[in-house]
Amino acid sequence: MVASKSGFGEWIAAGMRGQREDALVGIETMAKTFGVSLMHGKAELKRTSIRVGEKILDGYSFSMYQPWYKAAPLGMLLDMEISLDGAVVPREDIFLIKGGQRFRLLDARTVRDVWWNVIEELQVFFPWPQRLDGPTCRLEVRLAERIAEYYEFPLDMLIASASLFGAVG
Amino acid sequence: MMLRIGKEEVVMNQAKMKVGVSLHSYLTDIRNHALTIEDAIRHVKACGGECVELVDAEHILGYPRPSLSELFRLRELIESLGLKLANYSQYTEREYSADYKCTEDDMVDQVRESILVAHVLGAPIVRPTPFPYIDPAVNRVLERSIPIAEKYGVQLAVEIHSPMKPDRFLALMERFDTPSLGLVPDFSAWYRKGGVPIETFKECLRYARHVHGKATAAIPLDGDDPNIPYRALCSALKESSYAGTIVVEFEPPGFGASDVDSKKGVESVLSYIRQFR
Repeated sequence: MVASKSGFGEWIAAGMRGQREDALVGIETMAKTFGVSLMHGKAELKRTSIRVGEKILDGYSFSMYQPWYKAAPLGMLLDMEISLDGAVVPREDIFLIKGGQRFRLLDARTVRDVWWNVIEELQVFFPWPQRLDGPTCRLEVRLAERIAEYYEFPLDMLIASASLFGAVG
Repeated sequence: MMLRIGKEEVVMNQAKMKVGVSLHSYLTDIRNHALTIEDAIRHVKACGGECVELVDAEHILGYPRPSLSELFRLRELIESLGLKLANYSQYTEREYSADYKCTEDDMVDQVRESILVAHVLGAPIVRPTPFPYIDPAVNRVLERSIPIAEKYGVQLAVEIHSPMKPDRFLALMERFDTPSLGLVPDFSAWYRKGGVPIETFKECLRYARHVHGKATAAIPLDGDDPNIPYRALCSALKESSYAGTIVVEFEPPGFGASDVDSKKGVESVLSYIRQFR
């Protein structure tokens, strides 16, 4: 998984060894820069339920923002890892919600006609039956997004990483 | 037009370049929710700008399928402030998903839709980016888009952006030789470190429909940008009597995510360019 803790570490290490050509700026600067954009430095974990078929799933949702400077189809979202106080949320449980439409993370790469814009948030939901104690919890988000082109820079992939205390609602 | 008054010759009605702001300059504040798109447009007016530039994938709610009401709302706001929409900057995507590469037809459709949006917004120019394949031998997107632009009274203008070199674009202009296709020289292509001579900027101005005054810092009136020969480029605009639009594109290091003060940067660079009118 690209956006796992180890995958992210390998990606950064490769950049530092000069084995990646897809960085516009220093690789660490880039991850930090886009990470700030991803969460705007704050998060609120809201207690939410969704209906999937006949089941009602209780969990949490939070908002995140396009880390790149312009919109991209949801299908460019390659991978994402979420952890709460160190516990990794199973990828198959992660849902992305844009304009009320819901997509499983693992199917996102097939979505061409729903776009993740700079001025519109993307909601993330994951089932989490037990309530978090609060008032905050450590939320870590790593995200890998495909970036097709930046003028003539061969930028293939953008990784944003954010680690912050999210207020538990 | 020259008018003789006594012993003096006075230039009358000489068109001057219109100076405005690309809303791209406010990226940091827009993405951090410190400014809305509407706030940014109002700021352009407040600091004396005459025109604005919108970027499709940054500033249009519901992009790439915005509602007509959203487009008219933006148009009405811009017009109500007495501003002009100078240019609608368009990005031609080459992939719609990690598993789908766009065909040439897909890309032509993207430009077509941008032309229609520009038509609704009242923008005279669309800047498409079928990069890096501007060579008509491998990419016919531009060639196929020209008649569509002509039908809707919009001009296409491709941007010369660092690290791209002006020569290829000048060759492109000679190849098509039509007023429906021009250039958007972006100051970044003449970065100090890039070594591209200012003379080529002057050559590009023959085809310029719009200019991006890319700045990497706030610039004092008697100073210069640390990375871009701003004074030399603005002087070249003045010498050439360029009468089109130029927008501030304030893009300092750490742009988009740091505590950059977009408003102050815009105000500074706008005042700087206006000296050269």
